[in-house]
Order: sequence, then C-alpha cells, then structure tokens
Amino acid sequence: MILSDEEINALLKAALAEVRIGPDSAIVLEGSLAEGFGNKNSDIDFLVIEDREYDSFLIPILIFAEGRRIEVRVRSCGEIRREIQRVLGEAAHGAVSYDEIDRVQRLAHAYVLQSSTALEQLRADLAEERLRAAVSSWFRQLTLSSIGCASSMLALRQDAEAARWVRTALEQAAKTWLSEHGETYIGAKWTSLQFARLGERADINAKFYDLASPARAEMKDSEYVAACFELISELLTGDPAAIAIDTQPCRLQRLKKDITTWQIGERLHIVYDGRVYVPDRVAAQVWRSLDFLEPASTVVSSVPDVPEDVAGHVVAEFHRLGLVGVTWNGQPITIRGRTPAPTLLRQPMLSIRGAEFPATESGTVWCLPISANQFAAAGLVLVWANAEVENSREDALGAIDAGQWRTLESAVRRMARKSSVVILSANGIAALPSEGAWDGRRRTGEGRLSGTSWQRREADEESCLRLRSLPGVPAGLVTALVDLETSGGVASKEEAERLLSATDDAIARVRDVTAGSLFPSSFVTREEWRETLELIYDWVRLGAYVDSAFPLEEAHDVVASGAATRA
Amino acid sequence: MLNSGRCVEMAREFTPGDAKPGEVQWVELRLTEPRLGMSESLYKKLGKAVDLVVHAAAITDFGRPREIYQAVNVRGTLRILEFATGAELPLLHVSTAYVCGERAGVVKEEDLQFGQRFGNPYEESKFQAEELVKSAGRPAVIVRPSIIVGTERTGQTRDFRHLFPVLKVMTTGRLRTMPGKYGALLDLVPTDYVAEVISASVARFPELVGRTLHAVNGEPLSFRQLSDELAAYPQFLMPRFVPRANFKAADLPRHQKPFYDQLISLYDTYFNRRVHFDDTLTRELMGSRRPPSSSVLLRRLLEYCLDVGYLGAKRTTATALPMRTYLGGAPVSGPSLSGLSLSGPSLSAAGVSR
Repeated sequence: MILSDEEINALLKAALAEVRIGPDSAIVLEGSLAEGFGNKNSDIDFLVIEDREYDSFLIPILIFAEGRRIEVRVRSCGEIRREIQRVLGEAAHGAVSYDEIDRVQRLAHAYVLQSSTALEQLRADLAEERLRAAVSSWFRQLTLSSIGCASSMLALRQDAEAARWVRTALEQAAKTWLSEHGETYIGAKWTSLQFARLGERADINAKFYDLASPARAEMKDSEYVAACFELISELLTGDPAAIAIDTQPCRLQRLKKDITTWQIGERLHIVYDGRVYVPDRVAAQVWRSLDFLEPASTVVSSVPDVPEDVAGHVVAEFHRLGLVGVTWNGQPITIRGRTPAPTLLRQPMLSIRGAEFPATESGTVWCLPISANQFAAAGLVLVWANAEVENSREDALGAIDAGQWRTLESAVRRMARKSSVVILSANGIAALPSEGAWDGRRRTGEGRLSGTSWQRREADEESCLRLRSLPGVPAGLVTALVDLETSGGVASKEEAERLLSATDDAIARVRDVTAGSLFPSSFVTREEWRETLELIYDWVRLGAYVDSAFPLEEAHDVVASGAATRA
Repeated sequence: MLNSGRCVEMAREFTPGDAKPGEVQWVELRLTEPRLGMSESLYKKLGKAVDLVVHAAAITDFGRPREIYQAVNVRGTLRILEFATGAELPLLHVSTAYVCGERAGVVKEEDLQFGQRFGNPYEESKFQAEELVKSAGRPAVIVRPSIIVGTERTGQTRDFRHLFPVLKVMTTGRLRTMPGKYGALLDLVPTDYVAEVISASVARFPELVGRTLHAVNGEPLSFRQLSDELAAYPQFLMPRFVPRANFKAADLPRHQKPFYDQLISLYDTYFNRRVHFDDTLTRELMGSRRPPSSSVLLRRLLEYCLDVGYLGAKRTTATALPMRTYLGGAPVSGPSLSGLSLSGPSLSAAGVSR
C-alpha cells in the first residue's frame, strides 16, 4: 500500500473526530488503496461496521483532512451479512447491481484497522473462492449481454455502434478472466494494474490493450468487431456458441399491444405511453416493413427503397425509443436502455394533414411535445373549426344577399373566432375533454368532445384574445382578427361586402400560418374536398382511440352531414 | 373427433357393412344430381349404414350467381331431405346465423322469419333451406354458426376465405376507404367450437329435436375494436370507415376501385350491421365451454396469417403446421360439393364425444 500505517491512523483520527460510531465497531480501509492500487489523489474510504442488525443510509460522510478527501460509511453487520448472502447467491443470475457486488468485493479485500467478532464472521462468509466465482459469473453475464447487443447492432448494419458495444464486451470479458484468476476488483480503472500484478499471460494483456486502447489502428469497425470477438472467445472459455459472430439469432419483437399506428392522410403517428412519435418518410417506410418473424438482418435488407444501413439505423432508433424490442438468441436486449426521441419543436405543430415535421429523408423519429390526448384534441378542434369557418362564410353570403346585416356581423364574428381557433389548435392549444364536475350523484356538464357542445359550435369567446399570448403569430393578423370579432354597425351592402372581403383576407393569412389548415371548400376542387374529408375521418378515428368515451358514430354523423352539404 | 381426443387415421372409402367402431369412412356425393350422384344400390346401402345425417355442405362463397346458391344450398338440401326421409334418418342441418339477413338487434335461436331483407343470395338460400328442413317432417336439429374462422388456440385456418381476403385488402392498404360503421359487429367463431357444438348436438339429439342452436361467439367484434387491433401491428394499414351514405365507389382512386368492386362490395352489408346473436340454448348445451372472445380470436388469426405469410411479408420459412397434420389425414375435398358427414353406427349418440 502506498500509505503507511501512521498516515492511515492520522486520517482515521481526523475522520472519527467528525463521526460518531457505536461501541465495539470494526473499522476498515477499503477501495483502491486497500486493493494495492491508487495514487496520491485517491480517496480514502473508511467503512465502519457497527454490531447491529438494522439497515443504515448508504450515503457516506465526506470529510476533507490532510489534503485528502475522506469518505466514511457506517453500516450494520446485519445488512452487510444479508448483502453478502444475496450477492454470492445471485451474481450468476444477473440480478445483482454494480454497487452491491462492488461493496461486497471491497469488504473482502479491505485493510482491517480495528477488528470485531462480527467483522471476522463476515470475512469468513466471504471465502475467496466464492467471491471469485460470484464476480466472474457476474462479469460473464455482462459480457454475454454486451455481445448480444453488439451482435444485434451488426445484424442491424450498425457497425459503429457494434464496435462500441464489443469494446465494452471485451473489457467485461477481461474482468471475467481476471476474476477467475483472483483479481476481482470491479471498477475498470485499474484493469492494467490487475493484469500486471497477476503477471500471467502477458500476451493476453498485450492483445487486450491493443484492442481496448482508443487508437485502434486503421481497423474498420467490422474488422475491429471480429478481432474483439476472437479475443473474447479466448478470455471467455466455455461459451463458444454465444461468442460466434452470427446475425441470424437477432430478431425484432413486438413489445406491447398499446403501441399503435394511426395514419392521417399519408402521415404516420405512433402512439405509445401517451406520447405521439412521428417518423419521417424513410422511418415510416421502415415502420411499415417491420416483421417480427424474420431475422432482423432480413428485415432491414427488405425495406423497399431504403438502404439496409439506413433501415438498420431506424430500427435501432425504434429500439432505443422502446417502440420495438430486439432479441438475441431469444433474450431481449435491454442494456441499451430506453431514451426519448428528439422533441419536434415547430410552429405550427400540426395541420389538417397530421403532425408537421421537416421533410427529412434521414430516418428520423420525433416525439411531439404534447400528449397524444392533446394532439388528438387539437386535431379534432382544428377540423371542426375549419368546418365552422366554412359554414359561417355560407351564412355571411346568404345574409349579404338578404340584407340581414346583424346576421352578417354574427357570421363574421364566428369566422374570426373560429379562424383563431384554427391557429391555436394548429399550435397544439385546444381544450381537452373534461369529465365535468361530480355533483355527488352524476357528472355535470357536457365536457367531452361531443358533437353538440355549445363551445364547439358557437362560442370560443377568448380565442381571438388568446392569440396575443401565442408567440410567432404576426401582430397584424392578431389585430385584424380582434377587429373583425368586434366589428359592427354595418348599414349597407357596400359595407357588408367590404367586411366580408376583409374577413376573406384575414382567413387567407390564417391559412399561411397554419400550414394550409384553413381550407374552405369554396376554394378547392371536389377532389381536394374529398381528400380533406378523408383527413377529417382519420382525425376522428385517432380521437376515438385516445378517448375511449369519444362519440365516434356521432362524430361520423357530423362529418357526414357536413360533407353531404358539399357533395 | 380430433378435438375430443380421438385419433383419426386415414379415412377409407365407404364400404357397406364394413365400418369398424370409431372409423371414419368417406363417400363422394353430388348435391346437384339425383340420388346425390350415387347408384341406386349405394344410395340404399348408405341409408342403412348411418343413423344420422349431418348436412354441412353448401356454397358459402359470395358473389356467385343466385342460381348457384339455389341449386346447391336450396335444392341440395331438398335432396338431402329426400335421402333422410327415404332412409328414415334424423338430420342435423348446418345453417348460418345470418339467415336473419340485415335485421339489427338481438336475434334469438328460435327466430327465423321477420320479413327480413337479405344481404346477398347466399343468406336467402340458407334461409330457404332452413324453411325446407322445418317443413319436411324429419326429426331435425339446426345449428347456425356465425362467421367461422380459424382454430381457437392457434388461429390456424384451412383455407383463407371470407374474412381473410377482406383482412388482406384492409391491412395492405389496397383499399383505404370503405363504407362501414365503427359500431357494426362481426361475430367470429372458431372452427373447433362449431365442431364441438355439432358433436354435442349429435350426442344429445333426441332432446334437441326441433330446436335451433346458435354456434356463435356471443362476444362480437366491433369495427372500432377491429381497427384498434389492426393499429397494434406496425405493418398493417387500416382503412377508414365512412358512412355508407357518404361513400361513392366512383370517387375511389383508380388502383383501389377494383378491390372494392370485386371483393369488399360483396361484404359491405356486414360492415354496417349491428346484430347480436342470442345463444341461450347453445350455452345450456355447452355448459362452461366458451370460445375466446372475437377480439382475442382475431388476434390469433392475425398472428397465424403473419406466421404463414398470408398477411405481411412473404415468409422464407413457414412455421405453421402442414395442412395434412391439421386435417388428421382426412382427404381434402376442396370446394367440391361432397360434404355429407357420416355418423357410422359406432359413432352414433355418444360416439363423437368419447
């Protein structure tokens, strides 16, 4: 050890001045220094073992003394005994965490400063042979998981990712081999010293550092993976089948029944766990080509018009997002972890055609910043408001014809408000269906996105004003809509026509800021109107999925009756 | 018989007086010919050899000329009745729950006539056949299955007909819009459950004489559920259902229209019906034996169809069992008109239920 007993005792004395410990406690120095590694910057880790059964907090007490950082952990012999039993019993089954096995290993190789009967018993439980067996099988499990992940990435034609995973597998295989030979330290930082201390098989040490060092010559990723696999096979005796490079046992797995796909027009929306994932055209193509029965390598090589490395990249991303599972030899690959998709930040966020996203071809999958509920509600509000603008315009034309100026003003007010609703909902802002209040016997109020809501059909009192708090909408447009909403006093046909013309201008500008969402039928061909109608049916279906109480048939009727007037 | 745990070996052609207990023998009949296409002597010998006739042969395909349904399903049943009458045999007649036509609401097992409008000439012919059976004066039991699909545990199906091409057109996006109501109900029933209802009806024939049984699921599948189920498969597209009044086949894109005209139009009557088949008597007969719900069954069918490459990608390796294993080695009769099931002397009464 690089520290003398005097130095250690001085550090311990400084630590004990800050920490109260129970009588008859044992004290040990553990970690890098006790293992015979470390340097002058290494932490000083003391473990105090009190003679009691109940559990302690695992957070260490930090002390700075003699220019060093000292950590003191105080634990009970009961909890340590239980942990030793668990780790030695379970390590081979992969159910033991890094911290658990690390704590047990550190105690086994600790430097005793003050012993106790309890400590002697604990150390007797930790026989060297049992520890080696536990640590090596723990690392073996990890190695096989990393190999599975590396092989899966190879099957998905993701060589760079495979190279990174196989490097990890190599480190873990080295630790397996080292622990089988008595070097059980868990952390990766002293591996070179472990090899040196062991002094056996310098060839393995050399090969290992050849491959594990960052500058791995001019090797291609695929060559690197092959070289690593070769050394891993040498280190990990007894598992030749698991280490062979074979992409066949990699398959994709349908994870859950509630990962669902909803197409609005041509755009896909994957709904899972309350979120909406939006694949670009390439990612959508891959999603539609997923096959859970064929080997993953076959799946990625059979996506029409998408190169297999791109398809593999997309599938790897689906796996990362938790949208598909990947198995290796029937075992699910879980060590990659689940991470979120990049958030799609756009204005407008959606249009009548679904989520709005950049027209990339890179196989990107985005996640919308609003929940699936909000998305569906906003889409439905948008299509309803769209229809209301259209209806009101018909009303306005009729009113001008008949000289009904107050009816015209009412129609213009609705057009201004509903156009504002289109802008708001295209930005994801829409009222969610509420359950209504509970009056003790039943729910009151309509609440839900029903086809008869007064709010939906007539009011939206605050929609024009709300635009003021939505960044990105041209101020002139907001002013125009607020002015139209409050316009009145029409007394002649000329004034009426001027008002309608101003309204049409505003509507055209709304169309510009909502990705063409405002789509009055009078501006479009019969074919375009049919397509619009189909989009509305698609929105309605998604709405019914995310809200099980959504009145699907009634909504259908509303769409149908709206359509019938234009057919 | 397979379902009741019996081992069925390769069936032999019917030889009068030669049947061993538990043996299946076959004979080819022609429903459109006098004496069912048999010689006079064979006709008589067959009549003496069996003690119950199960009449399950019919044209069930859609889209054929009305005359074919009349010839096979109506006049064919008449010939079976002649045979049963001549040999003084009781008859189990397999009909369809859809003799109710386009009637909505709850249809009971004893219901037949309500002046219903039929969705197609198939339904009409099966209705007429039932009327013939009822008026023939033979001791008879009628079993009405709903939409028969694959086996209940694996979804395995012998031939991909009826629902299957519809699913194919739907899930592959060949037709993106179809007329239908999300509230319409499809009652899917597994083949083995229907077979068990028939077996149980044969076993308890005397007490069921004159009765009709609905061999149905009882937990039908709505189109809303259907589209939710399909949405859970990334590779499946899902059509949008639009109200019939708003659907115009002429508006369909040119490449989609043929799929509507040639296939979906034959079925769209079923996409707009909301009928629930009451099966009180069948439940009494079957006790706790129930098929899985239609939505569970649909999932198994979809998995099977993916497994064998009927839906989704073509399989490089079929993982399904070869058909002959499924059939227990019985000759595959295909869509021919032979289909008179025989209950030989040893199979009468409890014979089929061990």
